[in-house]
Amino acid sequence: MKAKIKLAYILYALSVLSLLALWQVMASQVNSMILASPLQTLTKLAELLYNLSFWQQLLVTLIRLCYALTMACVIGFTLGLIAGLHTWLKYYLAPFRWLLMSVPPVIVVLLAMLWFGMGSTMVIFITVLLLSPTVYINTQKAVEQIDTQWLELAKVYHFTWLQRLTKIYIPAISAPLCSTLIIVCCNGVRIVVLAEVLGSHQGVGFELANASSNFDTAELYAWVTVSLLMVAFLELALLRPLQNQLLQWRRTI
Amino acid sequence: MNVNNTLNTIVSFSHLELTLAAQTILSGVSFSINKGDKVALLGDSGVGKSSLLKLIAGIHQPSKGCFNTNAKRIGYVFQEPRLLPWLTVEQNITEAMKANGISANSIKLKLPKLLSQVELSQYHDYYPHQLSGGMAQRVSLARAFAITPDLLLLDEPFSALDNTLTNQLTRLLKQFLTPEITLIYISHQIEQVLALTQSCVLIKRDPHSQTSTISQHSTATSNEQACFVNQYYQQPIVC
Repeated sequence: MKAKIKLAYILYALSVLSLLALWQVMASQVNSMILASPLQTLTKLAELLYNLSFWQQLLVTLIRLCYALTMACVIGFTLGLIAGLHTWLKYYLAPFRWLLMSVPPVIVVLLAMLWFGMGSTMVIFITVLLLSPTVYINTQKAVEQIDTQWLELAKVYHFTWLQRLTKIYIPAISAPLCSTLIIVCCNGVRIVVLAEVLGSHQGVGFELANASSNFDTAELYAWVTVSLLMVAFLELALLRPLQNQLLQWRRTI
Repeated sequence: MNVNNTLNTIVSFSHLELTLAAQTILSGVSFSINKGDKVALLGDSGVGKSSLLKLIAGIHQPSKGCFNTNAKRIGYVFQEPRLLPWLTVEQNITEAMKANGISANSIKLKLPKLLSQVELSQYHDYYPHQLSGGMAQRVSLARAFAITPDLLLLDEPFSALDNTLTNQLTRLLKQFLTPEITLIYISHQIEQVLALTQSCVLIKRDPHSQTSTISQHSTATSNEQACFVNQYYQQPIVC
């Protein structure tokens, strides 16, 4: 087991090094105005780290992301759970889900800017609207797949609704739920940054747009690196421990 | 056993019909079981024995007719152990206890004794997939008895086990079964039926009318029970 984990880390490191090497090779072939090299990007990032404004902008994005992800997960999970158990809700919500999953994100951004103006409300609204259908559909499908034998057991032994939720539904759907959370967190960062680029005066996306307008390629890539690091932070610091907790029993197989 | 729903009756059916997925499983079922009875539910495969147990446990609802139960706590041992794979042995038992309103203090006192009775004390933190079939079924039995049931439903609990394990678990069951507990037992294993029950309910189904016929056989002695069960299984009568 330990050897497997060690191998996984070696492969991760190799993969990152390959990407950096590819980036360096590409950067050496084109003008630095088009593609900044890894070294230029890291130097700029180091400069930004000493700037208070960098941390303020990062905090704004992280707070928006935190609100949006929490709301999207709570709404999507609750509706998905109920729709998985009661088909009437599944059929009732089907057109809404289809609409939200089909409409291009940029249209939602434009409409939200019209309704809410520029700022946090708009960014959070767009992110929740675009992410909750993913959580909803995955939860609903996973709940439908729960083996009826567990539900029969819960009925026979009179499990309370809380016991059903925490001892049957959540553990039974934990594997697809973890995959969904990873997708949602990665897409969450993308959508928040996109919404900030298009309609916000603060945040990582706003700084990205600024760097782009000023043709500061190194800073642009530094902010791209920051958004990548946000995804890595969410996955490694939040989702991995949650996944380990939920799927603890599988590690004994 | 009697057919009237009295205070002494733990389950009673009157002209009961059970339809599942547009298919009539049971029809015209009328009988009752008294508190403390140890009853074998006999009948061919597919006649609706397991469905009847599920109806008693509240998993199914009757489509027509009447079903009453005075059982406060029902223990159920399924054909397969049905342990929640993400919970340990201990958690599988305690969750059922909590659901039945048993206090944390009582759980603390009762659980070690129970685990020791089923000889699983050292496996309390094991997950179900780390247990053998016999051990998992012992946990399932412990869970059923942990809630102090007044009605115990056994649906061919030993069908997947070998003879040695079956005999071991039958001995264990006899240890747990007190006169107050009512047992309804489905099994195709004659020795276990004779070891655990004192009377029989035989279910037959008319293939043309789809009507279930119930015949009850109360027996005064274990020899009479042996005679009936032997006859049912068409084996030499030993009484």
